Amino acid sequence: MSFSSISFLFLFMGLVCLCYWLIPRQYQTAKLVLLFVAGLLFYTWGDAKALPVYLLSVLFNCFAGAEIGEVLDEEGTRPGDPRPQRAKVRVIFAAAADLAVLALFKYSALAMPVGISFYTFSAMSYLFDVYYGRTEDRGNFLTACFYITFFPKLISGPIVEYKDMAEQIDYRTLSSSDFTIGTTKFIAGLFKKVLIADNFQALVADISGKQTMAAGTAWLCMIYYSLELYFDFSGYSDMAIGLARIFGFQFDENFNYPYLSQGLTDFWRRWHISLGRWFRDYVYIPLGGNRKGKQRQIINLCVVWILTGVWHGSTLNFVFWGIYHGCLIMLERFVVPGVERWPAAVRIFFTDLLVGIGWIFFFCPGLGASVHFMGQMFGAGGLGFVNKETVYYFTGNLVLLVAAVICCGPGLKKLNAKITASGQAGRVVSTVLVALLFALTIAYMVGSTYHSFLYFTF
Amino acid sequence: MQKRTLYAAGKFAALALIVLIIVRMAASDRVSRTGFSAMTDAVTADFQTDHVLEGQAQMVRRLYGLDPSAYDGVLLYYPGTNMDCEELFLVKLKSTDQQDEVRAAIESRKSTQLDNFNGYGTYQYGMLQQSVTEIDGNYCLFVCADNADTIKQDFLKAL
Repeated sequence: MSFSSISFLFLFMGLVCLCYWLIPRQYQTAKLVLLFVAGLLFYTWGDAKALPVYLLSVLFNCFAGAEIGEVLDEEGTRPGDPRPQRAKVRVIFAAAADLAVLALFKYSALAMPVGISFYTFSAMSYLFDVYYGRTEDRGNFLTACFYITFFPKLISGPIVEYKDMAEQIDYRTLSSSDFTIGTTKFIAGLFKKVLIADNFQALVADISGKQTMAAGTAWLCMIYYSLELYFDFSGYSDMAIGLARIFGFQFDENFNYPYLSQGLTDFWRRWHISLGRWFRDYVYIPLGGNRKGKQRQIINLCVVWILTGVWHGSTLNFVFWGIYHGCLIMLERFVVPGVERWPAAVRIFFTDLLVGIGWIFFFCPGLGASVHFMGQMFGAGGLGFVNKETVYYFTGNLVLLVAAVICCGPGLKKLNAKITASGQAGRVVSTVLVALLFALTIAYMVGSTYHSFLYFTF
Repeated sequence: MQKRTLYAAGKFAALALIVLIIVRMAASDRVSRTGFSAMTDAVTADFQTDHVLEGQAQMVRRLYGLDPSAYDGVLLYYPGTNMDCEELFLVKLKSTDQQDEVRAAIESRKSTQLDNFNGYGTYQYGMLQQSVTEIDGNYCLFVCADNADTIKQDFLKAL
């Protein structure tokens, strides 16, 4: 089931929210049980065949984490102490089993369960946080069960770390302002997905299906795909974060205007933030990070970026994409001097250009197709830089392009904040605008066909 | 100690069940990554097209009652005349959940053809009885030809 489907919005979400808010405040466990059951239903609706693997995976990790917690208790290990060998063996075994199952589904011919990359990383976060003593609960079975199956983040993240959510599961407040903020965030995400990303999706499918095209058309396709991917994934993340907020959970932002980044390092602090943080906390830092000299840091960065590429897909172009970003980040850090002194606009331009070229490896089906597409960008199609087709794709979608570019920056959010802060009348205007946006999005959804989310396939 | 043993037992039991499911899935639910055009080339390499016509979407609907747009790829060669029975039908499924509907459509088509030739087209009836239906993961094949087994082998190799 997708967040941007009518059945989810008006049936599933409506019912779950209503029941959740109707349960009195003192029955927190009942609220959690409701969300747990809703999570199972949500998953079953999306991929019923994969439910047994998903449930067993959740159970495996909950048992494994609880066992590690017990071992730490038996040894009397405190958070700062070195981890006992018995716990180390268990965490390595559990993480290896998780990765083996993930790799089997992702890189073999088996049908991949929906959301496996995301829920496996969540489960591993639970194991590592218990192992390193980053949470107080030492592997509470039920808390972990709820954490992994929490449906707003289940299918496509954000990959919220266990240590950031465990406390909220036990102690959280729920107010009408949470509902308002959550609903606004959800609607903003829905707008990004339905009105912007889906329109770019149709355009990209149309253009990328051509064997030859003018160089300008190929560049337009790259720009359109960059915008589609951003609005699709950040739209989903906004919906997930908004939905969680409606239930009283506060998640960090997963995107922070990434196309305004002033460098590749900056870009990865703003794009899919939760994945970057996961790799930093559970791979880069445990490997030594930048604390063991430059040579070791380069090796650690290589490991992280290859893994980032492999996480996204099984084909060679995803591995290449990971290496491409790793190399650019290392160049930025160690080779090109004084990048930070370049004018901001220049840095943003080059960052977006390099990121956009990287996305070609995402939307082309293989490495050969990516190289072929890049050739088109430099005139290999033999149709010149601009032809009638380029003009058609540009002028026919100019309004969409301008709207998307505006939405890539914080301008609208700031404007809304300003209107809301101006008093009672401002808050009414803001609410009416959000309601209109919702109505417009729903009207568009009813009249168009359903488009899946791009990150569902990762 | 008792609690830890319980957790360990639960952990290994869950893992064992996951492995069991994966083994079962690998046996029955294998999804081929072969592209439809590559598969088409493979199954038509040994298929004689002298007595058949290539069917478009409308013919797929008429003979099999299936909507081609619901699948990743559909190829149909159907008999050129009423006295021919050579046929090849290849479908790439979007999901293995579609296996049953395609299997039922193929069985229904085969049954209709058997009824058509029963009693007067001995040769054709025999060929239809020797026809091959092969459903494997996301690909389905129905072939009625003298060398149906060879085409089936081509299909299995290409998966």
